[in-house]
Amino acid sequence: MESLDIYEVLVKEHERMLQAYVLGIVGDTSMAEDVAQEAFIQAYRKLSTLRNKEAFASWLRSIARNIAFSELKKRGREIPTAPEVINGMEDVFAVLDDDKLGDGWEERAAILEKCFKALPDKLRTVCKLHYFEDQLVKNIASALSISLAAVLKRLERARSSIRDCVEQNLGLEGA
Amino acid sequence: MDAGENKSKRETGREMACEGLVRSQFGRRPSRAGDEALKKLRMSERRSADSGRIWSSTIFKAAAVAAAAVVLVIIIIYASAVPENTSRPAAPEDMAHKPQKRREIRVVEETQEPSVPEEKIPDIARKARPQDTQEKSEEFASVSDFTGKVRVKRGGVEEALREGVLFSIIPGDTVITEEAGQARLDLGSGDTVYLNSNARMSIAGGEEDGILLSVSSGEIYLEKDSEEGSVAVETGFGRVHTHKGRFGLERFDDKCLLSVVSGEVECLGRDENFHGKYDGSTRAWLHRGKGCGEGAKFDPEDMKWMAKMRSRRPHRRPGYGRHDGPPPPGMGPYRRGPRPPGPPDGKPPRRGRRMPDPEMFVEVCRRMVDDFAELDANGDGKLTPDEADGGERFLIFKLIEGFDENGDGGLSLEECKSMLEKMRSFADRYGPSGEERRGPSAPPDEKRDE
Repeated sequence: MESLDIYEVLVKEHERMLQAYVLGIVGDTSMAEDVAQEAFIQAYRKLSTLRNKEAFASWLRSIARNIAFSELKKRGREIPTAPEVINGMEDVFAVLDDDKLGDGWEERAAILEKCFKALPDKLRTVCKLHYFEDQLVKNIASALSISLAAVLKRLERARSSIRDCVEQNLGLEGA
Repeated sequence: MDAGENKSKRETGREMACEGLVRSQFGRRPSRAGDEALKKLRMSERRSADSGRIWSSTIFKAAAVAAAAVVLVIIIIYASAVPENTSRPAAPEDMAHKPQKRREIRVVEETQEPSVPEEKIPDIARKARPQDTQEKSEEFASVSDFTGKVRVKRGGVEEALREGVLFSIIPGDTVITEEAGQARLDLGSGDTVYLNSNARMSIAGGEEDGILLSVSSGEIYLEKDSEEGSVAVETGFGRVHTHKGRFGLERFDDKCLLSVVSGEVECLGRDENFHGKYDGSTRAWLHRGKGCGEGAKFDPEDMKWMAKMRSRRPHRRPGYGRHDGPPPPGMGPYRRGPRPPGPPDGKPPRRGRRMPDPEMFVEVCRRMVDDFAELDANGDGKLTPDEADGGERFLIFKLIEGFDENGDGGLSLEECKSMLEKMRSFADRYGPSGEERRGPSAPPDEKRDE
């Protein structure tokens, strides 16, 4: 078996995790795809430098993070470089890396889906439109006949509720 | 930073993670990133294997190594031998300005937006502005000493410095020190610049009486002890210049700290109200949009990193150090004077040196055009030195110097074709022995009539 065939197994295993992680940073689907793709390429080329094979997922995330930051910088967007922000993201993904939560990553991530489903209808609708269907906030406001500020507020509340629920479900201690 | 702020940032991070999870529809959103990455990696591996075969083919290797050694000589000879008024494709002579143009472009890329309006800049500083350096082609500085990892970026290509080698610096170069790396630059004027770790400094340009540097991150220290000319440093928040003085600059994201150790140093902000003149043992902040602040006293002994760096003995000996083989590009002997003149117009190469068969160069160029796809190992549409090894690598470096018309640091297929045409016209002119073909180029029948 060639090294790329072996690497393909790793790629398939971590692809969805990496996409979710990068989407959390860049918030844009096509950009996230580009970043994830580049991260897989760079990771393959640097694979020999990885000492702890167990830490592949977090190592891959760190590569993707650096690429994402560099892309954001190129586009003049704000970069969340504070270590505490990065640690906060890592808190969630490190727990999801654990096999105990399920065999595949989707299975582990599905544990959190109930947090999303538990959202009040108003918040869930806005979330679906914005995050699932990539609708612009102003379009959502116009479709739901509410103000732009109201959409933003609902998104903020939804994020906060999901975060609280996720922290509870994953047993994350307060920062 | 207090605990509350940390907590809030951590929560932001967790929220971002949740947002990513929701956006990816908990892992259900289709993604082609992995497949695309694998596809690219497979393609790259295949190309790399193919190009390895081509680069290592005996004929190509022999021709390339020989060509590497003399291609530059050919370009110089061709440039000086072909009369200017003959109709011919652009000769290397015309192209002699190309690298300089490229440098100019790079200067614009590397140099920060001038922080001072044009009319506010005094003559001394203006003389050293990048646009004035187009004709400057001579190396005017060198990295005489360094510790840790230090790189020089030239034409989009980065080269790590090697121990014992004097690295010549030309306008447009950027010197980059990494973590724990430090470097010392000797300027042609006899002055010195020290770079602390994680610094990035561009050599924006230079004239007889002024040099312009540009620091975009990290810390530098300048010793302008000579009476000759002046040195100006663009920081992005103000331009600092001196005729004679020693000062340090520490560049942060939103401000820059100027520490004047001795001499007189002037700082030009965007507005006259924010200009400043400082003398020894004075420290001042340069702020974005505000320019140069008020000076305050400080102890020059605080700049310990620089003292340590200065105490090291630099490599004074010009040359290639202890390394064998051809020098990498830019690593030539430090030269201050003008380049030695080439052979006189129309004269064959100097006696005692047999010129190599120009047909060989045509063959090398033809192979490069024909096998372009295979040679371009990473598939980016241009041949770069990192896609070849050894003598071939040096050949590519040299060919880029002469034939990279768009200055992107590589040779595209179009550039290779243009190079082939030029080499063909050169071979037609000089013939297989390297001797210039004599006589008119009219058809044989006409010659007989005469």
